Amino acid sequence: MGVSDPIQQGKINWIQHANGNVGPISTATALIRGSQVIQASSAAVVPPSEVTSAQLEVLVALESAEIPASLTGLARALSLHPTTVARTVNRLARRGYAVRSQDPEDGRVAVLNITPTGRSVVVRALTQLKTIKFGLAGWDTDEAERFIKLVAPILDTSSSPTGLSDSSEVR
Amino acid sequence: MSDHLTSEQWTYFNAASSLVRAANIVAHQIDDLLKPHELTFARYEVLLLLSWSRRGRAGLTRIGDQLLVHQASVTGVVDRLEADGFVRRIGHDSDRRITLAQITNEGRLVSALATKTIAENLDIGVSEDHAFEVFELIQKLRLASKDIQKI
Repeated sequence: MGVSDPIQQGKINWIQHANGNVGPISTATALIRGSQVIQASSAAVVPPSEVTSAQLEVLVALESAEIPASLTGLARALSLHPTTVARTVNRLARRGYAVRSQDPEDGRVAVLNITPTGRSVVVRALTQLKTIKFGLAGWDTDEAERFIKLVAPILDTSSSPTGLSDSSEVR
Repeated sequence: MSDHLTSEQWTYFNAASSLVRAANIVAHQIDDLLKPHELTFARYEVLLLLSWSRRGRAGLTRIGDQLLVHQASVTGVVDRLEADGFVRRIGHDSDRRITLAQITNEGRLVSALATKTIAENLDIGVSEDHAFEVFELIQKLRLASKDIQKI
């Protein structure tokens, strides 16, 4: 075969076998693999049994919120579908990392607060993850910034409840 | 953002979460396109690997190494493909310890149809140039993480 890298080989195969635009599928498989790689390196320093990447992202947003966040506010801030955020928040609540309470100004709205346990989880996780550059040791900051810009259109599908999830069939 | 991290570190934090999110989104897009063919991404990938290999067969261990599916789930994926009549398990010509998966004609047909669907319909919303740039950036990342040599 000559090429031992399955992602690279996959791209070559797509070019040879598929009549169509191979850019999207090659990039999609690269993204999926890249995500697995960084999740594996992150899991080595912060076990998912303590906090998953999806949960950490929501906790960080909760922690930096100046006022208690509503579910919709949180979803908007994270560009995620409210259903997705709600699912993660349920898990955070079960773990005691966040609590729901009624908005004092509008009793119909639930607001979310990070708990002291949640705060210490954030500190511990970030302290660990920064030592491995969040799994991105191969990139300098320019490349990390460039990547964020490049994939922004992919993430701009906040209408579909898939962006951030703990379901890991396709990690 | 809070002051746990420097701004450079926050950039990495955000890039990492963008990567995980983008991967989830495209994986779901692919799964949706495969649904009418009654395939999942994992099953489709195995069919692709087999249909691309010279004799339409590969050992289960090699399949696990080559694909995005976890080694442990290869058996389950092949079980399901076999139940659907898309592959069958055969013994290795010279080494009886090795089990091979052999793609069937039906398997070739369904993977060709699925490939056509994906090639025609997968739109991840980035231009060709940008998709290429993303591809290269990830290869660089994988190289640094020893993911490429490891396989």
